[in-house]
Amino acid sequence: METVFESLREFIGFTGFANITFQHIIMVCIGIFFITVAIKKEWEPLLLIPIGFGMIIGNIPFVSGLNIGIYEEGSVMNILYQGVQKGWYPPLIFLGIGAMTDFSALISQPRLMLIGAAAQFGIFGAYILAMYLGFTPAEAGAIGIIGGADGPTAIFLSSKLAPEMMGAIAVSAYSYMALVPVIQKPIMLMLTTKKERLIRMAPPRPVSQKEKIIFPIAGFILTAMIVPSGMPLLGMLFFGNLLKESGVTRRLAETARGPLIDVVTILIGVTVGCSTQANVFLSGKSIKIFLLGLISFVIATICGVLFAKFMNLFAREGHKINPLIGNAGVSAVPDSARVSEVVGREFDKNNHLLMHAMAPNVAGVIGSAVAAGILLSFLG
Amino acid sequence: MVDLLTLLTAASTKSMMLAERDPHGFIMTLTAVAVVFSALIILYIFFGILGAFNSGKINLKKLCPRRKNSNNEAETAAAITMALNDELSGEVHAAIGMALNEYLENSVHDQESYIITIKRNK
Repeated sequence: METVFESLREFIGFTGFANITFQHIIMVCIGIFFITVAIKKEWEPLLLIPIGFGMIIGNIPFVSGLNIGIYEEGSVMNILYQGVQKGWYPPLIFLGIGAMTDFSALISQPRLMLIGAAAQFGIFGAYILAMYLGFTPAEAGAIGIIGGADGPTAIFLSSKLAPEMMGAIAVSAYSYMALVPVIQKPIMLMLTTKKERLIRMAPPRPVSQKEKIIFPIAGFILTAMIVPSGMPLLGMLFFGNLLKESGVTRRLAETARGPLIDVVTILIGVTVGCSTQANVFLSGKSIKIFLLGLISFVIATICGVLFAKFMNLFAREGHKINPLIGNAGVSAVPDSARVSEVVGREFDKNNHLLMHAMAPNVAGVIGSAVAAGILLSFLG
Repeated sequence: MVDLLTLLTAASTKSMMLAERDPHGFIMTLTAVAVVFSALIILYIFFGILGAFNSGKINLKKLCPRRKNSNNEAETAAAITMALNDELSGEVHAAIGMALNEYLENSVHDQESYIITIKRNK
């Protein structure tokens, strides 16, 4: 009888209830919060639900040595996590993004690429601030990339530069991407006048199939030649787009933008969420990362809007840019472009800015991949 | 021993060396921003020129004069149209004539506006 009780006592000692700490409870609550926000507000549900549930998985306390934890080598979660740690998942996500993105808005108005470049100031503004706060250059670079508003890029770079901070960086990047409408709108309103918000942009010219096919090939060669370290992301992005635009690889394009990206999104979301184990995640550094991430997002939005206004100084009448599309320079596709549309229509119901905003938006994807490549080549 | 030391130092140093050379991150920022802008400016110029060709702002025919035998192209189109005159209705042969003319003048685009207005041909 005593042996039975002892076995039971031993078993109870193995349960999560016996090992739970206050930090675990906090992390589980954050996971539930993410899931709630994703369902109630529909903010980035495809990411927040896997991440939120991953957080709950990762914060069920267990006795180490059972080979079940994400940081225990050879465990199932650890094997799935390799895709994040070694940086396999982000390029695959980029393949899917390329296969679902229509670059015609950008091809027809190439000058709007510069807004996408200006918004990358957010990355480097946060980099400088992080250096001031005592982070090493590699850590500062990994934190700064949050301002690119690109989850896969943030994971790709932080896995190379600061793997121990990747959980916090990824969660921060995805959280702010989900909060794009909340963060960007007040900044856009603050920096623009009513007259500027009413600017109607000339409709973009139609783009030929030939141009759409040339874009991924020339775009990849030109950008990868400048920043070879960005090749995994840029290569997959443009390759995915070529699959889409070539017109003869429909099946491959559909797989890349459908089942493949879905599978990788599930794996990346769950494993990133799982990697936020309380003992690793809850630290003063994580709070600083969240703050810096927010600042980099704000700087990126400010620079995008101000650069659009700056371009207007040189634009002829009839070719003016509505600065409300400046926020879309961050690469949260298509959420930030949608914010431009919504805010624009609040002031003029018939002024549709979405198609124009998609140009800096997709330029932001290219810009953030280029920025990640530069940071990797300097700091990696 | 020295080699091992060198290797260990090299592994951790790229970031540390940068921290020493550029403690505030300004040099890194300026360089990186310049590279990002250059990459996108190059794309802007390239696709700006490509777009100008495609939208007809830059006309290759004006830059490179036509070959001699191309003078006959309009006449050929007219001759074919006239030959079809008896067989088909006015609208059809006008459309064929226009299509031939556009083809021979190499002014066919991949995407047209899809709005064609043809006056009734009597």
